[in-house]
Amino acid sequence: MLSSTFRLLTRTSSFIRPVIGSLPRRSLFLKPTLVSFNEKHRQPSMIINHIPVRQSHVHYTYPMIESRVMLVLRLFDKIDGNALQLDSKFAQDLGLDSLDIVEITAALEDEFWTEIPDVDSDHFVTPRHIIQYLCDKYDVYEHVEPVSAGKEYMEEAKAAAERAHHH
Amino acid sequence: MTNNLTRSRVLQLYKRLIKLSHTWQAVDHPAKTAEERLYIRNETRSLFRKNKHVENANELEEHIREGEARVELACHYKNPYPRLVNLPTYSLPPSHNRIRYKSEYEVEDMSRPIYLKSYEIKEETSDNEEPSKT
Repeated sequence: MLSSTFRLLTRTSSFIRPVIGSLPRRSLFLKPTLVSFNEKHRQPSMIINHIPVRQSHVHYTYPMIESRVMLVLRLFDKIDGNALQLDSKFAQDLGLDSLDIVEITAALEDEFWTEIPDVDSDHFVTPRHIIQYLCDKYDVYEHVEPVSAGKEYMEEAKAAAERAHHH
Repeated sequence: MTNNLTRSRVLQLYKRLIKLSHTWQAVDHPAKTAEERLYIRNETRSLFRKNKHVENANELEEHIREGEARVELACHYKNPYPRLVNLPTYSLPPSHNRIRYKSEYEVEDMSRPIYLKSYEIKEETSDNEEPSKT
């Protein structure tokens, strides 16, 4: 089932944090999901449904966002996994309507622990739009070609000046 | 055509129901949490799709009211299933011999609660024809 499957995956992805050399020396921080055998716990069943706390030092990169978005889309049962590409449009190629887009947005909100308002989710046409939106939200710009304000600007300025001269 | 305001109300209601289906906890039968979550999700999907073509503004307003009523009832009573109703107390049961006039159907429609608006009622007749009304 969709909801429990990707809830499990989000929990596991928050546990297994990449151990980079720059992190301080401590063990991986595991959240308890099993019943604790401490008798003093008033409600042991609360531990089973423990909601993982969002860690603020998660480092967002473009491949991570892209793979998570594609995973959430693949887990959606109305999307054919083989037909799903980065640029496949939801309405035309995959045959989804606005209700499905809302459902996908809700799943993405659960995955990325953020809110996506309706004004933004109305403009999602391809998965690439979603990934770009999330990159903008988390300030990920390593996949964007840097625009240098040097040579190209000078050439454009020269061309514009020449056009102004001729008119 | 549906204006943008009603469209966004409908989509907000749909999103609220989907989020409810992700976080639903069954209180009476804790083992049935997954089953009830699946029920909420499938009901919202099927009923919203069934009523997608509704154009009349009053009907649309009533359908939105139906959705909100079901959400509120489910959250309050911790039970996602709608409470079914029977015939009104002053009416006679349907039988083959008796002719039911249009007014009787209208009274029965009016007496049904709002949260059962999208459900069809089928008359059980042993004949071949089975009149069903939405």
